Amino acid sequence: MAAGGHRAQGSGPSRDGYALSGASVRSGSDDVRRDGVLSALAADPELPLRAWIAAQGWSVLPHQRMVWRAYLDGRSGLLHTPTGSGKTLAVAGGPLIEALREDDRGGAPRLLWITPLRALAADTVRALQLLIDGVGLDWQVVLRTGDASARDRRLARAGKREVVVTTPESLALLLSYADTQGHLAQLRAVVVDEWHELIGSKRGVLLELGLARLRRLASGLRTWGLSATLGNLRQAAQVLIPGESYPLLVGGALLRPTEVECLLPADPGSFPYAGHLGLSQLPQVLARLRQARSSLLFTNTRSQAELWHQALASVWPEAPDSLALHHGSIDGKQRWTVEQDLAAGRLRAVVATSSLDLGVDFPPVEQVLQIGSPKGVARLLQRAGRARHRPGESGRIIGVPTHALELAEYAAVRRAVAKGQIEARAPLTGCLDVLAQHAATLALGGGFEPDQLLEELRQTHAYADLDPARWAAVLRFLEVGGEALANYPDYQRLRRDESGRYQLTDRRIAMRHRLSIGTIASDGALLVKTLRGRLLGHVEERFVGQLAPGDVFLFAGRALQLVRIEQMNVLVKAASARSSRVPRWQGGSLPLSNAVGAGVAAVLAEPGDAAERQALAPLREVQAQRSRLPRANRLLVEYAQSGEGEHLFLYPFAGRQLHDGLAALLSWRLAQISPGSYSYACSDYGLMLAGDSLPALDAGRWERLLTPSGLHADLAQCLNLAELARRQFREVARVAGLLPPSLPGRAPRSLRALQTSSALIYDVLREHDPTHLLLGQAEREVRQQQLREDELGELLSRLSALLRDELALTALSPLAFPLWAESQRGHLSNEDWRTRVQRAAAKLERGLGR
Amino acid sequence: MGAEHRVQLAGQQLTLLGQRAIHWPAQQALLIADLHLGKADTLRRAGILTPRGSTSSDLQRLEALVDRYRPHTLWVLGDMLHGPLHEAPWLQRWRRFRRQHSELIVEVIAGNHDRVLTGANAAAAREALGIQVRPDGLSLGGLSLCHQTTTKSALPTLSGHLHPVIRLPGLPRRWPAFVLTPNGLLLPAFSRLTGGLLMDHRSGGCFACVEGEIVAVSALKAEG
Repeated sequence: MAAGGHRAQGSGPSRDGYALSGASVRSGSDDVRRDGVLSALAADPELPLRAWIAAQGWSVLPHQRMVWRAYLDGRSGLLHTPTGSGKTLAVAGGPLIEALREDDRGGAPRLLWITPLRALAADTVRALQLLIDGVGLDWQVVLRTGDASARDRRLARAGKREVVVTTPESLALLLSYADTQGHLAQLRAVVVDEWHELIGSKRGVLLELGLARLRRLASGLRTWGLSATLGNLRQAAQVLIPGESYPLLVGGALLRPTEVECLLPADPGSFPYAGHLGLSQLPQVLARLRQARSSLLFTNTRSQAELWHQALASVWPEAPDSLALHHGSIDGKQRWTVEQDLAAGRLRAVVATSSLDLGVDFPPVEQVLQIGSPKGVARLLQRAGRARHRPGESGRIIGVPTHALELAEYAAVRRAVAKGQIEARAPLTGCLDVLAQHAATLALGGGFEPDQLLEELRQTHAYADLDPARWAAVLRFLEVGGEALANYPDYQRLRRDESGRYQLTDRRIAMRHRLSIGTIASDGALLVKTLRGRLLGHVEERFVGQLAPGDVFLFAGRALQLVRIEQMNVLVKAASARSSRVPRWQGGSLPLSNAVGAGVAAVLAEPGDAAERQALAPLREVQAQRSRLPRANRLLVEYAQSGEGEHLFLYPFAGRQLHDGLAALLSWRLAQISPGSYSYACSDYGLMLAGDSLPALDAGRWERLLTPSGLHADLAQCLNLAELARRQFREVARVAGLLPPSLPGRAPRSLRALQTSSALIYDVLREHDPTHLLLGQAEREVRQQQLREDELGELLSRLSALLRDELALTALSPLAFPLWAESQRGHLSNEDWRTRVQRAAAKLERGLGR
Repeated sequence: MGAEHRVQLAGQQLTLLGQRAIHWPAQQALLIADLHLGKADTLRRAGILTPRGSTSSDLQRLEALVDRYRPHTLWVLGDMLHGPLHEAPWLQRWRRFRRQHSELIVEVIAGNHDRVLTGANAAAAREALGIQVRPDGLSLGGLSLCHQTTTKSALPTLSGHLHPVIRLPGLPRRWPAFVLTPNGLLLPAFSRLTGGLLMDHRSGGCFACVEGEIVAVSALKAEG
């Protein structure tokens, strides 16, 4: 009998054999050997697993048993649970019990474990191998990620290992080999770890496609997802396990109530209105850190982590090596050391970014602090969950606001937690760039028949509505480049064989495709090394571009001096001088979630009995005095003038992302009223429009600005004039394989002649093939993900119905100040480039430019 | 402002053109750098399927300049070609240009991309393209012409290679630019299908090429 077709149902011992009555095996000293249990195994294949769990001093938890049972019944599902609740055991248990029952000696892949983070994969390999050895199975776990050794990659590709731990991108890479696809037919289970991190991104879409292929290869494949709490768990399960309208959702340990404490500033009156460091809170934070044996101190950006680590180190009263730093740009080995030290209880405090949000549990951690904005409810709960919890006790997180408005954010988050309002993460659909990449992968991995593949694609949530016409357009893009064939001389990427199968056979194109698989756009990263060659981590090219030899900067917790840049290495030595210059990494400015944004307006209007009430008083007082406090059912509008021109401030409290779309739209509509160039800036609370002069706004013009009608057409203008589509095209082009892969380190010689940029290709396409598939995809992404057309329409309906509180400012209000100080601004203009360049040049001459 | 901007370099009057070229009346010469003919073709051969049209629009611009300024000689300061010489549409397009302007002399200083012009079959390639190849660093009318400025030459140098671009405060794009340096003048890449090296507009005189027009961005501080 083929092992792949084996189902749990009906075979083996009676199902009563796994009854819950055996749940509390606590004989901690049982030393179980394989031969000792062989006879018992026939009756109870769970026994070795239960014995191993008991030997660890744990007991089987109800949700673990439930997932085992469901798995053995042939079911797929989603387990949502906080970290540290034995989720690995829950989802790995089923496949192991099954193997024990069938005395499955392996020899082919059985379990595929997918994790979003390469950094987590090595830990997962260790944990799974320990478990497998513990139950006496003769299986081997292998790592197949970008970090894997050449030997491990070979073994994974050859299907010689029973358990493969990988990422969505490395799974795609595996699928690009025809022989590996053959081995994967032996799979019985796939586990998707941290699904909440993937859903809502193109990586999630890539994984959906990979899973659809796996399901076709291995019949009876069961999928189990692991997720933290989300507002749309059911949908998350449906996306992961399509085709079931009510997929199994298993709740892990009960959701604990979480307390959100806020570290109030000692002197609220002098607390700033903007900024992101909050080092004035240092003494209080230090005091808290000394009260606990071990703490995690989360920040929102890597730069912030570097600076807080430096500040703490300079006043750290304990052993210097009991304070550590952890973020995604630090070299993997150093990160691993920190994780080991943390798990072993050797560290008093670790300053970390989202790099420690996920993954293995650190039992010694007693408290969690969050520096700066909480950003979102789900995120804060996830971080709070990183502290050890005792049954029955509530979770806890200490917020450390860095400016006055963050006081209101913590109050708003606390209200949201109390009401159970948790953000949803919407899955993406219809991404043609990811589809093009996946189809090229399959063409490389043995080829595909287009109608069959369309059917397979439509099994996924992301492409359920893919119509044949669009699919044909994707195929033509892959085959020759575009729809207008005359535009493309006949170089072909894919070829069709006699039977109509698409194949990718060109070796150079195959190499390039494999190099560029993956959807995360990473800008050219340079390795940071000491002169002796020790690797410290990586920084982005953009930051290095601002440095000259001799400059000192802070990285990986130390002050470094730039010696020289050699190929793609940044060579540094330890610096004696101190510096506050810190690399800026991209992707730093996470927007506040809508739930929190609206909550902040409510807290500012009426703090109620929030703990932050006193601390917020100075801010509210100044806001009321210079302008007025935001009120429910009113839109607050402020006008101001400066040396730069005129400014208009608006406060919808809808989160940075929606404000961004709204600001672009309003700039365009202002330019319709009065032609010119406008710049805009956004915060989580509001937006600012600025120009040399702004048209006076009466009721009629306000209506024109805020009306929901004409939104779609106006956005089409905005996304071109504000160059939004041009920027978005970069990611789209890279995912779809229209750009040569950008590699860390020096590009191989074969790629150097292909140097080009997305902006160039964008311009070429706009000029010579304006209906190109990927131009449309970039525009759709800007509309849906960036400008959020649907939500923007709703926001406009709401805003246009509100009465306005309009005030002319003589001094900037606390709400206006951060917008005025924002350095990253969008621009929109309906003037031609020459006029704009001339004006900018003239400003430079007058010494006004920055 | 407009399509032209006159500058003096070592006593020579040069006209910088918004179409990324220099007109040098005294020499009856038009100078461009980094034409990168066949780049789109190279990309397509590697599977980066970009549409046709970028080479012919570059050559159309060149033709318009030749028709307007009627130079005796066209100087290409390096990287005339992007890669190997294939029988491809761009090559036919170039030959048509040569046929229609057969009296025009095309002098090329071989750049790092122009391996075909210096390799084993160089003579045949020159013949096929209707060009002459000149050594790097040749001097003409008191100026030195080269692809890549290396060490300080005694004469002010006109050179390409770097594809200089600048950005301006408050504006999102980057523009190709002529940049005055202590060594001479850097030319922007003529081909529109090229990226660029971002230069600091505060370092010296910069002249941005913006949609066919030329905009003086910062005069030399010493002059001001």
